[in-house]
Amino acid sequence: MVRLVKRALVPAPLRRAVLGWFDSRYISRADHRQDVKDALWEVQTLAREVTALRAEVVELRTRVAGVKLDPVRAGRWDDAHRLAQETAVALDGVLRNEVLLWQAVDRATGTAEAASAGKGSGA
Amino acid sequence: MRVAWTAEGGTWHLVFRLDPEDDVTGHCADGQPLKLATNTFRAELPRAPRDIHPDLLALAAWTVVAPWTRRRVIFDRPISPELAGAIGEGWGIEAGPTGTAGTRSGGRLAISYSGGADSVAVAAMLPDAPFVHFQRVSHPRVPNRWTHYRSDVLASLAEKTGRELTVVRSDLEFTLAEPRPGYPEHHAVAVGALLMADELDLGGLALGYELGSRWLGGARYVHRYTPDNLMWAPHGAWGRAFAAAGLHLVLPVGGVSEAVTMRLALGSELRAQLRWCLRGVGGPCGTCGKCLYKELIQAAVERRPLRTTITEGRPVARKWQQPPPYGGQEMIEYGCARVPGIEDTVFATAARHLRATESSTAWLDRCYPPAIAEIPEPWRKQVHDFVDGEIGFMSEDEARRVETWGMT
Repeated sequence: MVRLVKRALVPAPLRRAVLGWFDSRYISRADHRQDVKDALWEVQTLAREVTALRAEVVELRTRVAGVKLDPVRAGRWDDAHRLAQETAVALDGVLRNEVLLWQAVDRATGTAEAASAGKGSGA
Repeated sequence: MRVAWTAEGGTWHLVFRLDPEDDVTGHCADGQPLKLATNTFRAELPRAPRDIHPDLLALAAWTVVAPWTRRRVIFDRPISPELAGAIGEGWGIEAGPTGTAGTRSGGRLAISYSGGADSVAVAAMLPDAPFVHFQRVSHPRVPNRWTHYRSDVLASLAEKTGRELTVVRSDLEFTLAEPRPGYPEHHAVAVGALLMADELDLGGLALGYELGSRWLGGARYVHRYTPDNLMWAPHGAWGRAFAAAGLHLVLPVGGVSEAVTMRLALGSELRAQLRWCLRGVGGPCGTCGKCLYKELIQAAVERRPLRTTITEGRPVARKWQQPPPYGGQEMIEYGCARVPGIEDTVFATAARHLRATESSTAWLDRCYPPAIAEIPEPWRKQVHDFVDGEIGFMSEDEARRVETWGMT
């Protein structure tokens, strides 16, 4: 803009109008300088924060490295898990056998036939 | 089979005993082999009902014990000759004892509400119908190895709908050992509605079974056109048994595909409570097979690329790496024809085999008219008018796509 103003002979009112128009559309140099300063300040703050976080990560890593899974306890947990699963499967069998046992009991005592004749209470 | 109910306040306990000819292995009405786990279950009603018609108690028991009954079933209180007749004709099973209890009837239609897209679509169709939600709870005798199944989350979402709601909690799914705990018959989901039917004056129960389940042979049924569907036709064995107990099975979305129910659900005022995943807590898990299947349908409806982290190697994606037939194949065709970039997803192989196009799957955007004709008269007009206004009916050519499904 400065160059344009210097090179061309422009009537003062027009020049003022053009410059005014430019000023209303674009940020001034002073404002730009302030923006750059602000951005720089933010970058520096973030850099400090990243440094702090890095230190924290390192500290946490060392803390985790210090924790070890006790193999005895881990073994016991695995064992409890296996036992729970096997018990559940075994219980399936027990429950099914119970149904079959009642079926056999009813057959032996004739409960089913009595119920069929309308005398028994069913189950 | 002999069954006996006992009540303690609002909790009803059932014990059943096998006759000499019965066995712990049996079959669901859709043909799936089932293995019995245990012979007791309970249903916790929200309050002690005044009285329950013996046909309701008998039918509730029958939805659990039917797979393992070979020759006869003896209930602990006399049932109506109509229900005994329906079980006799439907299964060839002698049912009794019969008594002088008159046949049951009721006036209202309730929705068996799970919170998934299909039942939310039903709720949109019937804005005044009360909800009955059936919640799975642990069985005191069966170790619960399926705690990832978050039925509590679904129940709390149902509470948030603001609709008239009855929640019935039951452990009946644990009477089934194999393939895994679940409803012995699909109709066992209605146990809560059956036990509350007199209390709520119910004459019908609306379920979210859609076109695929009712007419196209369903996910694990026969995979072909099924006008005489054993489970869901009004004249099928189950339809007649429920009608005999005065609680008609009503399928308001029986004539529309899951694309339509998805569209209705996403546009519904209950969208915030919509949940088809049984595993997620704060939202759908996004990693189960159900999430993958529903994501395909949702992406197709929203005409956007598939959003999933599931890759081809995952077990839930394995079946889509095989050639067809698939359960629910009509929806896989629909999705493959509409989802942009399907060739770069886990459905690529399926898409290559199916070679479906938008025009070859357009029939899935409309309603199969006979599905409306079979809705019981008191509720037919409301559903018909909704479908007429919001969905539209299939042409004769499109209806023929339904009627020749799985036969070519």
